[in-house]
Amino acid sequence: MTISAEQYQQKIDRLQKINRALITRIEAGPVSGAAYDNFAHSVFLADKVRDRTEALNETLSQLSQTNRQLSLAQQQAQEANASRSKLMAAISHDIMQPVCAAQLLLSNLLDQSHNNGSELLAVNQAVGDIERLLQGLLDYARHNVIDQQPTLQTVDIHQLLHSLTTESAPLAAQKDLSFQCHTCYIGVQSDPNLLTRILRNLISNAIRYTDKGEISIQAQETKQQVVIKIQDTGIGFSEQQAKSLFQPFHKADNHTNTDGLGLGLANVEYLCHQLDHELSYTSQPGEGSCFQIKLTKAKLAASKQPIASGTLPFQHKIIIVDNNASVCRALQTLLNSWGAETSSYTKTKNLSAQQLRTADLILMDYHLDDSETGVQVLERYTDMPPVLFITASNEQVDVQNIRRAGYELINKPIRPARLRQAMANLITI
Amino acid sequence: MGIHAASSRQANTDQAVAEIRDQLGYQDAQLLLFFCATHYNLKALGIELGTAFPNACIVGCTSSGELSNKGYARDSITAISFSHSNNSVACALIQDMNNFSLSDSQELVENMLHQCGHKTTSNPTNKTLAITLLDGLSIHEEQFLQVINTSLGKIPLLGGSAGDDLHFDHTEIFYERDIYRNAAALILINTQHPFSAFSHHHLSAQNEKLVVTHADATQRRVYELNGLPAAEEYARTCGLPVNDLTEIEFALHPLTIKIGDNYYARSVQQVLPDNSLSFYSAIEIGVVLTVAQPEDVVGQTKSWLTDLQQKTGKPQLVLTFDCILRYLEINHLGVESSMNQLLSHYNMAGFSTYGEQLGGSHLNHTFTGIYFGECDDH
Repeated sequence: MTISAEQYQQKIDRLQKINRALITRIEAGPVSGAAYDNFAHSVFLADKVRDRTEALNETLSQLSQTNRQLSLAQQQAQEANASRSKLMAAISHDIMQPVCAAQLLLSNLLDQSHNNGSELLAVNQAVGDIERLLQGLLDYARHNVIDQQPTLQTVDIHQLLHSLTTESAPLAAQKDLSFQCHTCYIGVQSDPNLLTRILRNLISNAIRYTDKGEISIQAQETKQQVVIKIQDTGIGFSEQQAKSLFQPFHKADNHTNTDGLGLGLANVEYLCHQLDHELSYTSQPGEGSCFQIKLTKAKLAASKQPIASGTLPFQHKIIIVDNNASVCRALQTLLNSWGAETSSYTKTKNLSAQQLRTADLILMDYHLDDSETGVQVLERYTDMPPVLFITASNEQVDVQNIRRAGYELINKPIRPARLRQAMANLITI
Repeated sequence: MGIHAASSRQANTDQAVAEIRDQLGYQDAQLLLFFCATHYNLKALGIELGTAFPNACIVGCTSSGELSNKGYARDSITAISFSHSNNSVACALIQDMNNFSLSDSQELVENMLHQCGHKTTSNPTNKTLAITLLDGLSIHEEQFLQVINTSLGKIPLLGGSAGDDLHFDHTEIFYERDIYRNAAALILINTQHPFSAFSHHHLSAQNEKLVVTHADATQRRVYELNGLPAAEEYARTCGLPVNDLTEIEFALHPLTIKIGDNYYARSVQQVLPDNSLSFYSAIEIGVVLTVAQPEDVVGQTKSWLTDLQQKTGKPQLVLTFDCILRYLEINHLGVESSMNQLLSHYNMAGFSTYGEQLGGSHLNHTFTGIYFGECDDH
């Protein structure tokens, strides 16, 4: 069969048309927005994206399962933390009770002995060390399990530094160090318990790492701030040492003393951060160190006046309520030596309102037997004499409960000087 | 309770509605879908159904034949009720498909999902599905579907384009109390019934290719195929003179396009006097059409339904959007009674369409729909 030239030409024309149409189509691209492209695109999506969507869905469902597991794990961790912090509080309370009792008895024995019996002094120091070690360890443990929210209030700097001096000066004296404290009558915005812990730590460090010379504590008032400086002439530290100084369990390696776990500065830094107090330091190895804390100034209540000295006798009737018999005994011995008339109760059911009203002051433990608190006990009575709470608990809730009920409190372990001061604030000597 | 269908061939609107109400009995219908032949007055019928089912949202359209469990019919009404107890429904009308933006769509779909108790599109369950009824002569199905499907995310969308008994004159949508053209009804159903969406064709591609060399995409009109007048070239592949090209030949000689590994029908609608061809769906210059031929329509339909039953359990109702070309072929082959048995066995209800919707795609020549299984509490 032969094909004419004309037929060839027609065929070529048609092929050219097809060619042009295909080129047009291809050049329009796959997403021109025209109806046909919408269709082709939808079909393409339906085919290809369906697979990817399924893969994505699977990934998403795996992710959400992982999320569920994570949130469960988090919940378990939180519960574990909560129960650990409760355990910590309980242990802290239990350990502090006997230490507290021993310290009171010792301080009483020391008062009576007058001869500065060196063995007794050594025992007293050892017990003091035990108390510091435990306190440091418990503080550190507590910071790692509970985020304590500080209660900011006006703190009387003079009163605080005075009380710290009373307890620290004898320790400095034992090392033949001069101990000076220059305070000012001013208030600062802080948490009294936490600030006490910070300063006590810095002061005891200063004493611990100083072998000769002096320890000086200074409170200076600026326009808006109060700067407290704790300065010593001790071993000091270098820039390099400073880096590791705030790590827990670190101790100055140029010092051979074994008292302490090296937790002090880690605690100090943590607490200052919590309270928003600016902490700084300068030091020269071999020359000494100076730690400085900047606090915000606050107005003191007018009634806060310098306190009576610690020598006058208490001729008052004082009732002690504490479920720990040895604490009761220790407190009674101490208070009796100050001239007070005391009676103590370990069980609250024996207490009558009449008995309580005969007292000039009640010393009340917070955590009593059968999960009862001192605050709950006092709610049963009216017309009560002044009450001073003593507690081994550092739990924020407990402290708040006591303050909210309108009572003063001091923490165990009780230091005689602080107890005396707190009592003096509540009764007329 | 559940999903039920009724049908009537009463020519009188009142009598037809009464018959439908009798068949459905007292129904706590939240949605009533209906499809009717063009000899009915769509508006009057819709309003009448609204009176008979006062608590239901009434949505319907004209068709080119109706499907019910009594079989195929060409002069009837099929109605489907979705009860309040197993289904939560949200309905909307999009009055102008051509001017429906993606932001319109997002807002609408979000509201509707909220209304039918489906929380968010980013967290869909397989319990919600979307149904569309579109004006079958609007020429805007593709754009509209792409927009609405994007907003629906993973929610399956199935639907059909209204017909008019092959007059190609006007197709209409009824929504609540009135009729609309160029419009779309969108229905979202959050259902307790298990369901499977499906869309199948029974065509197999042949070797011959036709390239669209001259066309008007806005009118879905093809003037030339392979550089020759479209009707002549198409008739040649059918082995027929141009004058013999009628609707049944379009059904027996389908054209398809290949996208990826799959073929999709592009069905011819009419031969126009200038020997151009009009199509039921989007077409464009440079599109390559593959000549195809239908396979065993009854056998394949039966096997699809068997698979669906295996997957979804015993049928409650199969909502079916069945291409008009399939009916023409079934009728031509004389296998209508075999198909009617399937319609009855699977409790199918739906209509013969001018196009079927699956997700964002406007399809032709398919058997598309939703297979509702029975509720667990049956």
